[in-house]
Amino acid sequence: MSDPSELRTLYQELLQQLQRNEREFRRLGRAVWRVQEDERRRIARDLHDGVGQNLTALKLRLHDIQSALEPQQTVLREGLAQALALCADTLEDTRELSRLLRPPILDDLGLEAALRWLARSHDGRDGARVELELGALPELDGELQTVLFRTAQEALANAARHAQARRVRIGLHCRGDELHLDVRDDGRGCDPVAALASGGNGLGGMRERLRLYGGRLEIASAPGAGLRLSARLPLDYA
Amino acid sequence: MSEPSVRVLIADDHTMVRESLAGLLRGAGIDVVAQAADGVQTLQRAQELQPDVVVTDLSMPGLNGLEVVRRLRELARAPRVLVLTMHQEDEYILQAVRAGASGYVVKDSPAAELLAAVREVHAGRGYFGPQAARALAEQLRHPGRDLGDPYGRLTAREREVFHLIADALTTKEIARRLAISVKTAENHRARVLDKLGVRNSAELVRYASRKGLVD
Repeated sequence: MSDPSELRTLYQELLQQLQRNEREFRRLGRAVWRVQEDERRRIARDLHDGVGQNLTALKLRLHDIQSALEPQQTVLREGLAQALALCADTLEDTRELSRLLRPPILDDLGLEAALRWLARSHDGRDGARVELELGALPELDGELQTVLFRTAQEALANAARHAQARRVRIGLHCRGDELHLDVRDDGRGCDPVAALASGGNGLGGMRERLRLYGGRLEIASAPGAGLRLSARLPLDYA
Repeated sequence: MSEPSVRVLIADDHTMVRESLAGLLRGAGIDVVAQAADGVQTLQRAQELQPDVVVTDLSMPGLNGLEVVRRLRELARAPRVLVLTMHQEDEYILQAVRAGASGYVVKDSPAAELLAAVREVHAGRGYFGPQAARALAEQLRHPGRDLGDPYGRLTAREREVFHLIADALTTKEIARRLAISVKTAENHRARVLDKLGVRNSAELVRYASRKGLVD
């Protein structure tokens, strides 16, 4: 058997190895998630700027033809009107799909604009009032912006869809070297332990994703007493 | 024809949209002097040809569309700018107006509306589609709801300092370049960083390149 100092050294080495593995695991996890988000960004862009633009060009062409028709060509006029209506609907569907995948506003205008848009577009939907409070934020890299946006999005969907909240408040502030994202609602609440145990989507998935960036998620709730979700994320996650 | 001829530059990276648009404008007697497929080309063409109106998309490769609008408005003989885009969200509209756009129309608006928009903007008036008008009215009603483009909140002097910092000049060099005291340059620098919410020059450069504010 080794003497105590040797054991201590071994223990230290093992600990360091574990820490290295942990860092490596987080790095890999981030890489996988980044690939996924890049893919969503690309498809969302293709839908918005590719398919959407083609549909727009198609609409312009149909308008051209429409204006060249004689007033008495009623059958053709009606057919064109229907084609134009179909174009408009498909264009709207395309926009919606693009936003669902990854809203272009996040990459074009950044996190603050994206959160404002998110809050506004959920306000009144499913009968919930959504309020947003943004503090002054430092320049954040694209990945942090994505993590924060996805967390807020998931929390909002959760509050409106599952908790049937009447009121949701989202706050994002920078405190020292940490970002604080808090989402409170007055919905029917849940059992925090059970909610966090769910992997993949939902609160459990949200917590796992935050962990990859050195962050943590806390949930305080009781049945009927609403839910308070606090995400803490370091500015420097590497 | 008694109507004054309107000289238009069309900027859009999507060829089919550009061609359709050019056809539509020409059919209505509007003179399409050139087309451009990206931001840099748009600025070059605008400078060479001095069109009355630039009809531009916001999503183009190379240079952020909002920055294109901003730089067009800063040209010696600045054209009027009509933004024609797929984006309907309020945030885009407000930032485009802040950047200096005189009009904002979504791409799938009826052809008649596009023509009206070009003519109105040319006549020196603004033109905003129903969605854009609603967003602007909403912003007037809730001015506190700042839709945040910190760069747009910089003063002209601060913007000068911003670009010098982005070009990696030291505070001393900035003072010399602008013929101001080092202390004043220091103050400008601090205010710029503060308004942008960045902590140092490196973060400012990152901000600038992300927003397409530097080449």
